[in-house]
Amino acid sequence: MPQDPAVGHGVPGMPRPAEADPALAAFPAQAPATRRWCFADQLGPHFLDRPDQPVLLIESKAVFARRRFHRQKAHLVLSALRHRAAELGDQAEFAQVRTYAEALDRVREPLSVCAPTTWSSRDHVLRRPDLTVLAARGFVATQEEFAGWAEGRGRRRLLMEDFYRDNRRRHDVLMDGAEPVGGRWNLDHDNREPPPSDGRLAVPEPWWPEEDEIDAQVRADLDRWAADGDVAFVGDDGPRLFPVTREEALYRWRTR
Amino acid sequence: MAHSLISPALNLGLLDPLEVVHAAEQRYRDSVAVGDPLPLNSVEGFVRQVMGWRDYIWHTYWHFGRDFRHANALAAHEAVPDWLTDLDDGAVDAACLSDVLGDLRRDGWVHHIPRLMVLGNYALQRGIDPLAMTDWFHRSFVDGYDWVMVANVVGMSQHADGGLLATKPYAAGGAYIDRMSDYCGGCRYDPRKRLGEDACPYTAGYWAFLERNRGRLAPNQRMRRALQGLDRLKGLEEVVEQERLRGTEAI
Ligand SMILES: Cc1cc2nc3c(=O)[nH]c(=O)nc-3n(C[C@H](O)[C@H](O)[C@H](O)COP(=O)(O)OP(=O)(O)OC[C@H]3O[C@@H](n4cnc5c(N)ncnc54)[C@H](O)[C@@H]3O)c2cc1C
Ligand code: SF4
Repeated sequence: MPQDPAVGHGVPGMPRPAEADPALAAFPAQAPATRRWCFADQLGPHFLDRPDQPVLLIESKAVFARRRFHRQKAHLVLSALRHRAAELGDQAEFAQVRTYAEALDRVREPLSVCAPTTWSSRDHVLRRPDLTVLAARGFVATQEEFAGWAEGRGRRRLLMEDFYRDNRRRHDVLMDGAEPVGGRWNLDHDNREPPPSDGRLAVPEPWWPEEDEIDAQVRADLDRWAADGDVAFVGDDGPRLFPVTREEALYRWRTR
Repeated sequence: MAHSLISPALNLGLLDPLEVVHAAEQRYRDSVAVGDPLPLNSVEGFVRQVMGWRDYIWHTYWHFGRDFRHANALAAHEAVPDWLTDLDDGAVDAACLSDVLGDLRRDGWVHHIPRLMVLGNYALQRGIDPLAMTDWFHRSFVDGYDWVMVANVVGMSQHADGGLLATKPYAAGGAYIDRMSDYCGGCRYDPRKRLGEDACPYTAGYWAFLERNRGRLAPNQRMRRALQGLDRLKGLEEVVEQERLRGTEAI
């Protein structure tokens, strides 16, 4: 018997498509007349409705205390958030607090947020009164577009390949009219190459970021939190390997 | 354009995927215009990762709802062992796993193939709880976020979704790792051996995994050949017993 393409549906204990969940509501697209709360994974300009929109950034220590993160992950996230705060200057309110609520309770003006990236954080923002939740950003297809595509598949498997072609068509990427550039959609069925033979990631990279005084402060803070026993990490500390500002990210991307 | 190392910047929201994809296309078109075309398959491959895989993973995280993370179709309930939690590569002899774990400890990052073939494959074979593995990946990787981990780990890597995202489990023995890398030459184990002191834990672990999940995998056409191989395997009982004793001790 061939695998039922929709094998999960109706099987006890298997995930089934979410229905009418408030976290998946049709959120409005924009709220330019509000202050925009940006989570630490919403740091680019495309999370604002206008370049001079007031911003709220929150650094919550509780997030790091909940789990043992890789030291360099904690560094990357904190450094990126603090770099964004520095870059925005007076345009941003930067709250360094224990919990999000501490910072949110202080806000006295209309506040909005782009739908955050996890179930628990969506529940959290939806519970806050006076916080306008907007559609998610930072991905290609909208929630409605994906839902429409999934619906159209009926009980057939949700094939990545099919969704990918839809995205290419919709955004006219590598297309010659209605046809894919080169005449075929899939040029290399297994595009994943094995890792470099010595397993090191430094091989193809011409450029690594340079740390600055913000990184030095992050390092000192993380050392202190760990020494105080507030937070514990796994993994080595080390020179920062990944971009934390848009400028660094664009530079890395263009020179790669 | 393989290994762009762009996932941390995308996941922090510093770059927008569409701008990145348009820029890659522009670069390709410019290269064609000057008569020195970039290889189309690597440009397409990159576009596929960013507007195919990344977007698909994001949307399936929501589409399959709140229970997706709890899916455990292969009934895997082992705890994540301490040496893995601590990224203790020094405790591990297996050359492949020790090397990947060491890179992860040092950089907070490894390429896609080691995530799937070495780390995910280990957890799958050993029956480690998929939710606990999701959490482990989330904490240990600089580009790890909940939305990207659930579909990649529960779905793509651990087959805990019963085949919603991938048609068969990504389980592989030492021969496959040997083909895809050059780890085995320097290893105290032998990828061709499944029994004894130098039996490769991935090779033996593969057979033990199949045996443990025989009933669950039998309806899957794409597992037929693997299960036929299992039926013909000599010394299966000993292999299963050997791997039961090994459990999730450092290999
Ligand atoms: C078990 C497991 C866990 C993973 N965890 C993560 C994770 O926490 N964060 C993460 O971003 N990726 C994750 N991936 C996907 C993939 O391994 C990384 O995106 C990739 O290694 C990043 O390296 P790169 O930027 O050089 O990728 P490239 O090969 O250059 O691809 C370009 C971009 O495409 C996107 N992409 C490609 N495949 C995937 C995918 N399956 N899921 C999501 N995005 C994808 C990434 O943004 C990546 O940067 C995981 C894969 C597996 C098997
Ligand atoms: S022999 Fe087995 S354990 Fe050793 S490197 Fe090869 S696959 Fe890994």
